[in-house]
Amino acid sequence: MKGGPLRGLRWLAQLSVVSVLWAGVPAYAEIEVVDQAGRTVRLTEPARRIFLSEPGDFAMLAMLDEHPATRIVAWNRWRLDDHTVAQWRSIDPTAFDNIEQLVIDGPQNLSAEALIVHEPDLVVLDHFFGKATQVVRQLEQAGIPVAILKLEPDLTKQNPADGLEKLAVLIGHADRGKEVSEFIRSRRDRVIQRVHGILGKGVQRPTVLMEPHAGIGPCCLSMGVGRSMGDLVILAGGQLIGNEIIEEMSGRLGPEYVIAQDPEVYIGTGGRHLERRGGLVLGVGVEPDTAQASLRRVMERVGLEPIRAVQNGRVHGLWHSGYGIVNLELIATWLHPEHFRDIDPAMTQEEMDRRFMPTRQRGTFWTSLSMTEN
Amino acid sequence: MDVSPQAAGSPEHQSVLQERWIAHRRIVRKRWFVVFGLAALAIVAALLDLFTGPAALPVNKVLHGLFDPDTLSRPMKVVLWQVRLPVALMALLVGAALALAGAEMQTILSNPLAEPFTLGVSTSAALGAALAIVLDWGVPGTGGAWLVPANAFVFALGSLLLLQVFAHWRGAQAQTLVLFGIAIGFTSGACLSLLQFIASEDALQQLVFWNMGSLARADWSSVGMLAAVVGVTLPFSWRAAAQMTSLRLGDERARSFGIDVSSLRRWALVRISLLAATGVAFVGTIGFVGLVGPHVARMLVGDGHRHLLPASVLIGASLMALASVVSKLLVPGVLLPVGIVTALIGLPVFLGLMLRRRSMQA
Amino acid sequence: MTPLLTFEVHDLDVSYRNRCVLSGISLPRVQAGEIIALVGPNAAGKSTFLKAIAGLVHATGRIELSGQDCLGWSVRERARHIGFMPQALPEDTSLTVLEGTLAALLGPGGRITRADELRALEMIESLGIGELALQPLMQLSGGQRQLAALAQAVVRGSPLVLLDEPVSALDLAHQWEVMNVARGLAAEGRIVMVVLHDLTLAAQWADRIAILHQRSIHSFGIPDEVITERALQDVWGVAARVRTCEQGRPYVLVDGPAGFAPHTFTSFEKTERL
Repeated sequence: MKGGPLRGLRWLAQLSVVSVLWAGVPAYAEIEVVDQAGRTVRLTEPARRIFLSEPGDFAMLAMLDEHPATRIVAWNRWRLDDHTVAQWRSIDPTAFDNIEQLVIDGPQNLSAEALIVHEPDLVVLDHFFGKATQVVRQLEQAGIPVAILKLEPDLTKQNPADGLEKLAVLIGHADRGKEVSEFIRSRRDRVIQRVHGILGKGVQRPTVLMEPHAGIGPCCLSMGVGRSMGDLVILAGGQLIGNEIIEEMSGRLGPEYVIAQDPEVYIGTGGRHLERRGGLVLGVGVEPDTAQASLRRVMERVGLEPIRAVQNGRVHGLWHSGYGIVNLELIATWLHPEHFRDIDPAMTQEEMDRRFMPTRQRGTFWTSLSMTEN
Repeated sequence: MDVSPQAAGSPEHQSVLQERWIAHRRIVRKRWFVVFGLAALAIVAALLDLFTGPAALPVNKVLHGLFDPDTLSRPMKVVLWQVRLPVALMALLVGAALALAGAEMQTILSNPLAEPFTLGVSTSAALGAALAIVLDWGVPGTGGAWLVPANAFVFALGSLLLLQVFAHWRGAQAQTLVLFGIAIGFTSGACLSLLQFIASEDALQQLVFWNMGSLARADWSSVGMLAAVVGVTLPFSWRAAAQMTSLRLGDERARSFGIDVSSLRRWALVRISLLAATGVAFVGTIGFVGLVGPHVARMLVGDGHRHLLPASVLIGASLMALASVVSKLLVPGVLLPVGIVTALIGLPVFLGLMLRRRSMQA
Repeated sequence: MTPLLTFEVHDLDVSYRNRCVLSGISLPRVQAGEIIALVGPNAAGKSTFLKAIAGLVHATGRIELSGQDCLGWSVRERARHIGFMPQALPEDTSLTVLEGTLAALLGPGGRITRADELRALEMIESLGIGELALQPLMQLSGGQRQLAALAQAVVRGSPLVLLDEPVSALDLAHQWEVMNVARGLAAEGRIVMVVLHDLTLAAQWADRIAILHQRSIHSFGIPDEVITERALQDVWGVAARVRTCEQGRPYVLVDGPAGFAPHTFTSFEKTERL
């Protein structure tokens, strides 16, 4: 360093100035996530004004944050029954009342203007609503980040809670997201490994009639594969009747066909919205007796009495909004009771509620008619 | 009663004729005033459409934003220029297209209660849309957002072309056209029902919604296309105006005036096809505008196409713009499909027109 | 009006859906200034004949107007030379009498000038419905509408005027007016062909009468020669008496169906009343 001490001093001064400046610059923590449609979503800070497109998304956010309502500006609650809504409200009524509750039945009714007016800093759309490409484009033009994420865990995927993890990152709770994801994945793996073992020993897949919206019409609606619930039956080592006929969500099978197929297990899904229509009633605030009585009523329809499931008392009901992983365990215990005696879905539910939920869900979320009352 | 023309030269005779001529001119001028008034109405209706919406944009901001977009915040600029403006323009264009098609259809079918969908166009378009929505079938090359409209357009146009073939084969009288149109409509309807039966819940919902008619899908490219179609057909309709007016007096009479009636009908049908098919493709089924628009226009300016066409176009445009406003305001927070609004409003208006017609004839 | 205006028909055939409607119709030369009445029983083909000339139905043969064959003409060409008044009244429309007449004047198109409007008003006035010029057609009575239709047929000044049952809906006074107009048109040098049901009316006003019967021309000539009791029996199947009025024109009194003898009918003693 030639030039004398003055030169060295100047260098030191420059260095310190730079260091001070550098230290003074605030940490520009940019959050970046690739959503499930391959789009890169960038936020400058964790999202605090979120729009959620699915009724079940509130529950998902609740798993990641103790005060979910404070992060939501607008939410599509669609057909969510009042009891469930009241339950969510009870966490923090003031914050909840500030949420704009929208009723949007599909992407065609999604209005960019209606969303923009709430000034969200993140819009989360699931794949169904993500089809509204025009709206997504308009939101992006308005400078609002859009993330296409399915928040509800898809147990058929390698990483079931992928969407949830990504949302966790977007709200700055990445660790919590990983925790939930790990829990769900480990429980899921436990079930499918055991099922794999059972089937490997040559046990036949029991035939299952899974009926969505159980009881509102004559026998029977049937769930297909490709959509949540039906897939759980496959994962749990069963097979759905009517599989060859019905794709996607649901279709109608005639009573003759059902009798001919003679399924070994019947699983209906229902909720409080079926109360008035004489269907299977399950959910928040429902008494166990009510649920069981409604299931009995559902089974009184023409075509169900002669089937094996009824004769052997393997008739069950599930809440359509329940935790996927709990439902998976329930179905596994129903399909292969001898092999799943040590797994208690009620415990799983209780643990999830305790560890991840700000409030415990009270009600009846599954029911059965069996030879011996359980 | 003076029948011979010999007294024609007399000054009293001439002044009588002059008076009548002046009276006639006055009527014509009055009609043009009505047309200009309707133009003003359409503009007001379109502005109302721009002023309404879930985002609370005050009127002065909207007006400023129209002339100088940068006065608005980025989200509001998108709201005005990407959401509201295309919707407002689409409303005007669809209303204009349907009313224009309706006016021409009512003349060529000699039926004041015909509308562009009388010939089964809307059902065929719905069938096309259903094939795209339920089975993902469509015109090769169109994809994504264009799949459904392109298919709807092709099927709508196809049904009308089929009609042209029938008409050529059996003669293009008004009754023949209607009968074939009804047959086509029923066939399309049956196929549509079949598709609805096998559709998944998802697709079914989409289909039902598409059928209700909605302006929400409007964007600048679809607006541009519809504008092009209307822009191209309008001059041709205008050129045929005098001949269409003669058609009101009857087929034989018009032909005796030197008009090629079957050619006139054929070309009118081509124009109607383009307008109806394009309108339906982008917006879905909208009823009553094509019926009520020309009907009201006729009550205001008479049967002559030179006045009837602009009046119908403007009334149709205004109706749709107002329907768009109502669809936003009727149920707070919900954007009703505009086809529902036109049906709800259209039905009582339609009944009113029918009763009035009865009393006028009685 | 061309001074050489003539009209003749040679061997006209008209078929509709493989059914022969007119066969071998021939009309000897008709001169300018003549009124020709076409008479005959129902479904004899009178309207069809006029429509064939007007080009509204397909025909084979030869129709000569001033020596030119009309069958080869385009729709426009024909409209220039031929004015046709169809049997049906104008449809329900709010177009005014004036607007209808203007439509007829313009034909396939063009701009309406002031001269056109005045000419149309002139025409309407000359038909005696001048006060109704600005009335919508739908508000007129049947007779008035028929006069309006007549205006549409003649306003273009076409040399050949075809009127298909122009007096069917008219009372006696209006019947006289229409026939008087036809007489006036002929006097201008045109040729007027009128389909009529009333033989007496035809005999009074026409220069020559053509009787159509069983798809062809039964007879053609001056009223005296053509309207005979024999013809009435053969063609119309009625027993009638033909008398001559002071002007030298025949008039017809129908007694009943052919072969009817008054004495076999006990309740009515018609012969006594004469």
